[in-house]
Amino acid sequence: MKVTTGDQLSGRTDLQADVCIVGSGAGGGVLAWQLTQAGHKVVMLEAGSHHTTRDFAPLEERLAYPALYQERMTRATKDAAISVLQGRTVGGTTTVNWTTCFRTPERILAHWQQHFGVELGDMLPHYEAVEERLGVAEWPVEAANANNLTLWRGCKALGWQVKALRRNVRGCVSSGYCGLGCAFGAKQGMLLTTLPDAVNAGMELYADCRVLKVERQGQEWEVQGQIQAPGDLSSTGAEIRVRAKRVVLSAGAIGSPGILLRSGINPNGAVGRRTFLHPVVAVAARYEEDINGWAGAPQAVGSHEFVDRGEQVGFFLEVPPMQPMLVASGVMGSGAMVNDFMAQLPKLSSHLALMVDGLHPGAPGGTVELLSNGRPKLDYPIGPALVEAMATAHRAMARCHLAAGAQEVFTLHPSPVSMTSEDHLERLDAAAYGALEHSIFSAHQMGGCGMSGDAKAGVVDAEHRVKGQDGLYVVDGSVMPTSLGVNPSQTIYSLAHRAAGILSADL
Amino acid sequence: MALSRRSFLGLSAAGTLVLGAAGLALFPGKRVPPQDWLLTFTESEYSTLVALIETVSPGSSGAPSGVELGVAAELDTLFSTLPPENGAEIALALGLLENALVGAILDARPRPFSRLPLERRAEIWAAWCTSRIPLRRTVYKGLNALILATTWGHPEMTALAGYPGPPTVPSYGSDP
Repeated sequence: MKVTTGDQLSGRTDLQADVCIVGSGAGGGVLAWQLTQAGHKVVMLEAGSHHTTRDFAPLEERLAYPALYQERMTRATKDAAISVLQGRTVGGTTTVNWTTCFRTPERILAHWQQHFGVELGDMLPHYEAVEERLGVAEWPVEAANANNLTLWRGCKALGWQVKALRRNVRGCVSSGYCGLGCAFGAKQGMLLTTLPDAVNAGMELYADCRVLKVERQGQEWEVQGQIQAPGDLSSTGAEIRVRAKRVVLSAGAIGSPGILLRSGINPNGAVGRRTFLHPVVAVAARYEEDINGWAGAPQAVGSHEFVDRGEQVGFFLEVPPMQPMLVASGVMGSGAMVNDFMAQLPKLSSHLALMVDGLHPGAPGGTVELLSNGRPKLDYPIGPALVEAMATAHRAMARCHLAAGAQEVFTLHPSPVSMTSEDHLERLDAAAYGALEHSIFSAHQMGGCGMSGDAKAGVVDAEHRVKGQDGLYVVDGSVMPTSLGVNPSQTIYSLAHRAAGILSADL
Repeated sequence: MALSRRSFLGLSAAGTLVLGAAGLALFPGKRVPPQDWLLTFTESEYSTLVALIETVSPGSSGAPSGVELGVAAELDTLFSTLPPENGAEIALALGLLENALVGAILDARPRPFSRLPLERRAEIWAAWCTSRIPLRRTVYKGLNALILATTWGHPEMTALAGYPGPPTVPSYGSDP
């Protein structure tokens, strides 16, 4: 795949296109594939660098995370309470995600229609198209690793709902290192699928290009970006300008609001607001048998037993990969206790609970704002409704581990709550929950440029058009009016597939 | 009203600088010369970082400490590749941690952090984790995770944890 990288550019590069897409992840990748198939001239600008399958081969966390993730894997909310894992490379987060795919839940689509006036129509053709192109298929429980099987066993023992997950892979060798980029060429992210399709059909793809702003100029838009050297985050001094009939922001739920705010575009004052994270809390446990959670498909099973808790914030259960650097980053304690904890790594299993934010008044999400240097930052307060859900989730995960046969269960508090039987669950009642009380992560960023059918609300309409800005669109996870209660990648793929038809008709 | 991290930094920058200058002038910290040119931090900030790394990742049972692994230099390099504001925030946080005057007022320890014995440093750092001052908890969360992740990125550490390392990757052709 031909990619122009930052070291190949100097001075000012001026380009012309029918459509300029900013971002090469789940939204931009699928959109580019479809638009080029329809014969449109597309230029794509990606802030991250171009890393190929061969580049991933060392599979070393300390090399991969700084190279492939936003802010070299140091991205966090403003108060540092939530670590934000988000890709920054060609293919975006689809290059480093854990491959779990879900269609958008019907109850979420109904909620969007009822509360936001968003009518998306029949999504089935879009689901099916991306599932076929990306090889989305169920991963058999028989192939699940021991870390996933503790969740499976625990849920089964407690009579909770639990299902095998679907993944976008072909020829997966079950290495377990999806989060470091797939060195086996199995993950069907944008890097190996839609981006090569689009480039082969004539798209020009530029990596190492950070878009600063977009500006309306007559009947066209101009996208203004600065060039970075490959692997670098600072400008080389080179610039890029793309003039296009249509501009699509696909820079993700933090990046796209950032570009709009830098451009002075803020319909209804809603840009950056209602940004959702599926905030994740974790509970670990030591088992008698070896778990070796670094190996095997990272996510193979999941439970939606608690996803709909009525008036209370719901959550769903999955597991993470257990490579040591990722595990250590989740420990809140310090000193020798960390070494003692990590010494148990081969026998550790961890469960995750992902909070479904945005559906309840008490979980309104966070706000993306600009720092003085123009870079976006997310402020995400954790209020009582989320605190209650996090406390409930801790108890659920502890019960699940114990039901699965764990010898000892630990929370990720600075002084971990330890439990070896159901009788000890009441120890969780004395613990504190919420921001900076225990580790919290996010691997799912949504919202910030939310859709709304009301002209006086939201940032984009149900056709992805930025309100009051003819020819400017947003196609990525930022358009979601709420979080999903499932992993968001396939919803973004499918929305982008749908958006391609809208853009083609507009051109 | 609880101060947010950003508002604290904004409102108290001048006061912090005054306190910092006074604290450092009256109670100079322990200096640890870096092995190489520093790219982000001053020698003073680097020395505080070394003291903190020794506290967070002290090494035990045959495991090397974060200091022995060179974590301080790695973090100095890491922040040199991020926007300068990121490194400046860490530098400010290290200054607050090191400052003897602030320590005397808030922690009853009128000595720079880097000059305290390891046990006392561990107590103070643990207190930052649960502090009623939001900024301290934010600093704890950010720096603690950075130091632990960097420490446990080293093969010397992961081998001790029973991690066999990543699998061998067969030779594949080029991407499409």
